[in-house]
Amino acid sequence: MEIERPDRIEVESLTKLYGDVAAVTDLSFSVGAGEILGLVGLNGAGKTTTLRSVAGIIPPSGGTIHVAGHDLAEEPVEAKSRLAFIPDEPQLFDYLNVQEHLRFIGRIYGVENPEAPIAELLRDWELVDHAKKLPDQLSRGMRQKLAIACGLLHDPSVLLFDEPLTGLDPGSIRRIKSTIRSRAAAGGAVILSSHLLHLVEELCDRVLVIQKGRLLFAGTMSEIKDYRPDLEGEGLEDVFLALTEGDP
Amino acid sequence: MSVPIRRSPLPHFLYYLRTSAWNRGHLIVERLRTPRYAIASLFGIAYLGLLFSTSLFDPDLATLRAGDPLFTASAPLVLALFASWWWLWGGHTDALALTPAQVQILVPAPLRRPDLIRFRLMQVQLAIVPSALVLSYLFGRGGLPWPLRAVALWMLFTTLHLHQASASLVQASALSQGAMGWRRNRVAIVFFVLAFGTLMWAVGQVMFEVRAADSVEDIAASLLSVLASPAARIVLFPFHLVLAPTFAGSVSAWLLPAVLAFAVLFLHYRWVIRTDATFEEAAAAAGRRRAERRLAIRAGRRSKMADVRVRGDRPAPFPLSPTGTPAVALFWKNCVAFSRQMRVVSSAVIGAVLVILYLLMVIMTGSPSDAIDTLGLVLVASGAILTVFGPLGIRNDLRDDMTRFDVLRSYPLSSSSIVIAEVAASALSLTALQLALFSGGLACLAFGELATGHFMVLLYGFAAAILVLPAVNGISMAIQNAGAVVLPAWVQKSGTRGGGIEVIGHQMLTLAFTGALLIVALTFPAVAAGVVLLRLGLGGAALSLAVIAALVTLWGELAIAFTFLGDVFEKTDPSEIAT
Repeated sequence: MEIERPDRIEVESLTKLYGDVAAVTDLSFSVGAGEILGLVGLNGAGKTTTLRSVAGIIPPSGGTIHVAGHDLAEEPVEAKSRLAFIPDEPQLFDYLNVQEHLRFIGRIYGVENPEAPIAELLRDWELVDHAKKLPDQLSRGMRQKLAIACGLLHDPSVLLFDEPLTGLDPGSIRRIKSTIRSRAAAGGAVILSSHLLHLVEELCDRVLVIQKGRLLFAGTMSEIKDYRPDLEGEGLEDVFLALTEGDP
Repeated sequence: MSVPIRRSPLPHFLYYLRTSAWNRGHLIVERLRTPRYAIASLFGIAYLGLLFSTSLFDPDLATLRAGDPLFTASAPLVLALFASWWWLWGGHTDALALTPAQVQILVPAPLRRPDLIRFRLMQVQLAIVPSALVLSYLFGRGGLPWPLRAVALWMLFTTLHLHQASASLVQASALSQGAMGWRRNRVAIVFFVLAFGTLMWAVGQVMFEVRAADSVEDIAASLLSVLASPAARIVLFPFHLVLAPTFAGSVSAWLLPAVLAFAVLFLHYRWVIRTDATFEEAAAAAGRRRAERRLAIRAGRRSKMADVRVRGDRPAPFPLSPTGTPAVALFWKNCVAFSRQMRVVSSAVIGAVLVILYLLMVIMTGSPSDAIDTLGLVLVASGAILTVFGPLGIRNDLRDDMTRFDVLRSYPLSSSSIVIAEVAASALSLTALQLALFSGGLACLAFGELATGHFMVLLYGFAAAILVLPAVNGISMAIQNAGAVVLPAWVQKSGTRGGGIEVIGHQMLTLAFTGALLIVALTFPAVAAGVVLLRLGLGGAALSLAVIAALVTLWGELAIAFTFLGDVFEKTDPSEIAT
């Protein structure tokens, strides 16, 4: 009998070392089904390392990561098939055009009848007129839209967004916000890493503040504000700056 | 929700490789419509045609070499030394390197690790198969039909790549999994240590025998006798197996070695696929390094200079004062770039090579004095050769900075001062390098016998070089920079995509054009110096005046060049710069 596994992310004691330098140290958190977690921290805090570890790009030096109940180290294929990583700096294949990128991704992820969702994504992300263009012929924003479309094609239940708004026009920003909300509403687990704290405040149910690779705070928006009662009535930005005060 | 994929992803990889190759070919054909690519391609084809038609690629050469016992005996030793290098240091660099796009898209995809390795192996075949075909056609037309030679070369290259990949995986496993990684790979590691130890013993024996040898024939005989020893034969046996089909002179002599070589290839393949090492991080880092290296090569920093990892913590060659002439800051920035591209390791390697060269010369000549004279001459000649080739390799000027054209133009500096600062940086960097080589050469000659009685003349020459080289290099660099400023669309920007025949042709055109201009530019100072000498004879004062006349003419030319280039830079349209 197949066991129903909830769509969620569980990170336990994640540590990542680069030589003697610890990018992330003993970080634990989880993201439940239907939840959006904001990952915030100063530059170099370890946000991207955390996201890349959860995406299976960087093998951790210690700790475990479970995606939808599958251990990323033991069952990588099962874990990754439910996951999408949308990076801040999209790296695309030099010699595949927009449509071919989507077809390739569709095949890699085993998407059934991919042509219909490809057409839908091309339309949604205004890529129809650029379908035959190579990445070099696309603007920064269009490249980002293609990376988003690639990430959404296989209907992932776990989504990792690293600064997803970079280079996007206002219409696309609205669309990505709506996509994040709708994916979470459909039961997906989402991690959103961003320096745009108003975006985190607007979209996320919970927030994780990391500093120098360590967990500084984890909780809901109201909990983080309660954490600093002296800043009552202020926004997440003020609370975040107060929390990380003194860190260069 | 998608289900995990169980079927083989190889057809998807084939789709990616096929589609990419098709699009790339299409792009090349499209580019040929642009005159600069079309002309450059024609020159590239002409150059390669000329190169391949020379006696260097004599079809009988391979047969001749294959029949040479020294060559067939020492080739496995060379391969074994390469393999040792991969195991000790270089294995992880390129064999399993993934591009940033492959890391970002394929690594998070639901693929098993062996599938990723298969993908990389398939991708490498795109380079191996054409290489085997071209090389077998060029070198292998004697005795064995060239398709069979191609198969032999394909097996050789593929096995070597698989061996390199194996070394990468063992290294990655040992480094990422610590003690467990070492335990998991203990058989391979113990095997390597034993083989490497025996190999080093054989190399030591060869060196010992070479020292005792009196002639080249003796050296060859010693080498053959050491390589024929049982220990060396056992260690080199697998390398003999993979090389044997390539050296076969007939179809019948090819068949059995080919079967054995294929068996070695297959065993390597099984080994690579079954090694479950977390190689992704090392592959991503190697891919990044390779991408940086390619950008550096496209920017003109070739060979070892291309393999540079710029170190931000290295001190600047001189401190920048917070106040003063603004253009000096630009000059300083480019000097910092040059000094940070020079690696301490590279300098140490060059130093070690010189020491080894010296020791070899002592062994060969039997005279330390002759050896140090030869070393001195090599260093002086290297400095002199840099006058011609240095400006092509040292590019810490507008050729690198045209990618930042908008930023340069936004600075509150006149165009001519920007051009002067840029050209001065590369010209003086080259001059410093040459003077360092000349100093080393002079130091060697001071201890030798060749310059006895003439050393003061050499010192005068060195003093003249200090005066003349900045101006000569300035002219050379100004010509190189003129290409970037006058014909920006023809200059390959750092980081732009491109490669193949048109790049070779473009480089040949640039070399011919800038060489001709340099000859013209140096003719006027030479004429000025000649006129002085004709009038005043060959006395010491006349020579000094001739140098001054040449210098004045050179600096005059430089002033004209800077004014001209400044004007052109001012009028350059950013949209003309190559993309």
